[in-house]
Amino acid sequence: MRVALKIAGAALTIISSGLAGLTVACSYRTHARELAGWVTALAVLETEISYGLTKLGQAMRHAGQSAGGSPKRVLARAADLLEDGGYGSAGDCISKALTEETASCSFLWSGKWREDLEAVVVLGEALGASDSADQARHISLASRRLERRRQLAEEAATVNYRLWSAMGFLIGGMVAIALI
Amino acid sequence: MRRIVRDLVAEQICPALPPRAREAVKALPDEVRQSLTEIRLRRGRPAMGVVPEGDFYLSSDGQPLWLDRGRAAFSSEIPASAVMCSEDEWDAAMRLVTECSIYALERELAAGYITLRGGHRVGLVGRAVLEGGRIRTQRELSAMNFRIARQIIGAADSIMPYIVRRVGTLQHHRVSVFSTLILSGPGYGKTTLLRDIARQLSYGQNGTGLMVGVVDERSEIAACSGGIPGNDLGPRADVIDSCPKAEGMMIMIRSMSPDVIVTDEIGHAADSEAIEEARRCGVAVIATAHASDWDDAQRRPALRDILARGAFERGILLSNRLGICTCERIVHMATGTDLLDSPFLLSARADERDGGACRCGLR
Repeated sequence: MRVALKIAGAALTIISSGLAGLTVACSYRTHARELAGWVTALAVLETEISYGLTKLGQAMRHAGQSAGGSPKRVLARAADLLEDGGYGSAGDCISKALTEETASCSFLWSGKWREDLEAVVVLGEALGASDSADQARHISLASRRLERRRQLAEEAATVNYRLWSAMGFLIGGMVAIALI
Repeated sequence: MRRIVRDLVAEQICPALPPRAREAVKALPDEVRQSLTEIRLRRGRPAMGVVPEGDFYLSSDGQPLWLDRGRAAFSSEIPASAVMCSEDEWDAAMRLVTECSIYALERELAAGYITLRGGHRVGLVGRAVLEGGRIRTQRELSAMNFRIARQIIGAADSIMPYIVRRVGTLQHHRVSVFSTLILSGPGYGKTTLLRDIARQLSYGQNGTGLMVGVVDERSEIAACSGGIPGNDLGPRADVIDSCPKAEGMMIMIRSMSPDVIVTDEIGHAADSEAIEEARRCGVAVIATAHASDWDDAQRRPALRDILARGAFERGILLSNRLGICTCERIVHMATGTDLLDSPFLLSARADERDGGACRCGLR
């Protein structure tokens, strides 16, 4: 009975540790995917602003919808705040939406997101305040910065996904052996 | 003129005003707020309201500080309670009026106005940016003027008999319209009259409604938002929105086969060609133009050309002699005959008005 309990405890330890490792591994991939979503959103935003001359609130919604994920939530929220009219500039609305999104984000990435999306916050300050050519330049600059972050995130995901997938089970196994 | 039920200023203008000015307008006595014709914001100076009786500074306590009824009249002194248009207020006003989308409004900024939902025009002036000798846009904006557009149902009641004729027998008749040019200075009610003429032609009477094509370059006639007219233009009106007038008229003729085209503020050579083309196609045109009288109109080359071609059969001249929207003259353009004995206020119903009796049998 005692042996059976030990085996069950060890299995539980290995499984939970392995799952935790897989979660961390997946979060690296999610991070890269979300950044790719932001790059897509900015490309759509540039098209909406430069060619469609769509009003900013609607342009942000369209851009978010085409990207999905966190860009969709952040840009839709920022568009709501902007159209409400009482919150301030586009930059203020995007910052507020990002803060809300970060608050609901995994603790692992909340700090990282701030760093990654600094380009979007800076872009927000200029959004809607100049002619379409100038807007396109600002968006293009932010897009390039995000693209660099995405490439770094891809590289980190390639290395860390395998590492953390195995690491969780290994740590779980070592803890189980130590406990037994 | 004031058959107003809705508080348009509170509903449609206040959301576009910066916070302090908005509160001041909301705090105005109802009768003052409902008779506002303009709200003017000037950077670094007090916000101002304009009513037919005069103009006043907006104050934080809601009491109008009349410029012509006290010390503010000839003094540079600004009352302490006047609502100043500070930099924060100005920035907020710009954000609200442009919906944070200056890039989408370059054409409007070059033309000097933006149209809000509801057809209210916001005039904007600042430093012009030129390109090839033409204004590309404006920067460093310094003043904005919210011009409150009100649809006045029945404003054209007294005018309709002069511009509509019945053709055929009493039992089997149809209605046709005289091509008409409405002239006046700014703010005398041209667009209000034009809008109601379009509405009345579209509704018609006893099944005599006409297909009305509205070419609404400045979104003031129909006040379209999302493709839906904000003003009542009747069941037979089609609107082409934000389209240059000449091109819009040609599109209307080609695609919507209207009986009458309604358009605002003609004055370019291209408009003259388009009106001529409409006439050749048997489509009547009802248009407005800026001019204080016929001589003034003749001094403008494009209008002179249009008038010389005999494009219009009726001319209506508005003034503010008896109040805004005074019908000063209705002219039979071919003969130059005045069809009115005396001016009358368009707001007054035909049976109430003083004078203005029809002089000939054209009604």
